[in-house]
Amino acid sequence: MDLINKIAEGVQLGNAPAVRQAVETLIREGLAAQEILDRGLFAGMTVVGRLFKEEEIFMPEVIMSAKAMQAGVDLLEPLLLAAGGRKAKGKIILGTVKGDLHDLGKNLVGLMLRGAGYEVIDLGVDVTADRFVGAVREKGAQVVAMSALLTTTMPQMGVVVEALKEAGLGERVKTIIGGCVITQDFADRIGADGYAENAGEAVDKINQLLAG
Amino acid sequence: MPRNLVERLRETDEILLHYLPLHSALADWGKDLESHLSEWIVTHPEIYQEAIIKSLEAGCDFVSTSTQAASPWRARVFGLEAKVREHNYLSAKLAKEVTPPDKYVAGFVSSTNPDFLEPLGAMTRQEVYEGYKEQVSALLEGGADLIMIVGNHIEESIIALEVTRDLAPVPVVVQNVYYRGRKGFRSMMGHDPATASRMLAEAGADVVGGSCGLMKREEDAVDPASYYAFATPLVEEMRSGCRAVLSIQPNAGLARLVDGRTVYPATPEELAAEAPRWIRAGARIIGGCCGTGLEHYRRLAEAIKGYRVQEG
Repeated sequence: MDLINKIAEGVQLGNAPAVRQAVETLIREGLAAQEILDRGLFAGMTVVGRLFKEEEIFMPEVIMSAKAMQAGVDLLEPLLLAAGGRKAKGKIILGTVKGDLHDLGKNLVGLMLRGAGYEVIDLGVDVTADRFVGAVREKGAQVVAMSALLTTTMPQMGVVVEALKEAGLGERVKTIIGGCVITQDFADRIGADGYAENAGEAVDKINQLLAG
Repeated sequence: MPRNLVERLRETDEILLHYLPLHSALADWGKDLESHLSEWIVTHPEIYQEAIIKSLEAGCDFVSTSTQAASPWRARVFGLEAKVREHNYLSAKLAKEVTPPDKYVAGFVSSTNPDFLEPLGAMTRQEVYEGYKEQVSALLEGGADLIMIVGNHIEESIIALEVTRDLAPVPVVVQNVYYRGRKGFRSMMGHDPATASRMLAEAGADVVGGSCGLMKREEDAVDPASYYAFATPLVEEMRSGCRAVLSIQPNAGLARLVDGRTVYPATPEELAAEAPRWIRAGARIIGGCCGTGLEHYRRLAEAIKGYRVQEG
């Protein structure tokens, strides 16, 4: 099996040593870092995302895969920086809204998005609308991705959508929301651009939002 | 000396009702969104005690300490790690003060967010053990009669169980959160209820249960108000994995936002009408999670009065 496929497979199996070994060899052979990243690491993570979305695998597998991917990314980072930085597909501000501490789902979304080639700025939990807006301005992000697990905190998502509009960022940035109590209907009602049912779907939806 | 929960379960055939004063339930008592749950409780002790008194009067048999945000790991997120002992100790002490001798206070611990036990996260077994020890010992010192562990991660819950066993001979309830997906019920970590329940029973939990979750999938055609009905098959699946006493604590349906307000559609009558099915499926401890208010508990208490443990 060629080494690029070995990398993708290593990511899917959560096999960090195998990924490291294959990445090191390809670096020695002179393959461009961005190519190893895209065709090896991210390709593997895309499969993981699909399997997770289809509930063939669960969080432990996804996290092990993300670790394997990160092992490869760590080796490529210096090369990518030397080549002028990693070409991220886009910048995404991620966070759990104000009053809400749940972050497992959000963290998974972050992993999947990084694995899909996005730069993710994770603001953590209990994030106010001001912080989301500030981060969009500061980082020049294209997407705000919000998570909430409590219905008492869901309304905050509407607050953030409004705050972005008021800050004149409504056109510039897409909003996508998720969380166990979130529905497409709720997303429509608050004027969010998208809703994703799980981390795997989040990647697909964000890809669509930024393409369209 | 009054019987502990395990003795009570063994010597009687009663069904017991558990009250969980969650963040969302305490919002009804005036809690705002911003403040940290345990910090609010220790600064509003009278309200916390009032909530507990009312729930016990409504017919609940035991109450939890609302200390899910008082773990060392969660506390760190809020810069409150120095208050872990105080939060847990006081939550238990305040609850114990207003709990009559024939009812119980359950010291509540949850998962280790934001970090996990390795290899998923960066924490060693020792770190998880020490963290749970800090929390559980404070709860026991405050007077908790039993420990209730509710989490998403079986291995971590088993560590919390071991911590408790090493500290005191109190009953331990371990509940896992399940979600209903394409392949049926799964925990976030991918365990099905039968497997998870078997693991917990083998690890020595006195009561094994399922909590919260049961969230719908977008394509389910079932009426959102009846999602708590998924509790019945969940109990059946847990029973298929173990012979331990079972506990079930579903949400009062799938929440919706109606005119800016959170509405859990399962009315007290609907929830109470469903509860006998959970009992027939094998649950001996019942309660509610998100959306379960005082009236729900009142109706649940009435509904279960005539029921006794199901044999077989």
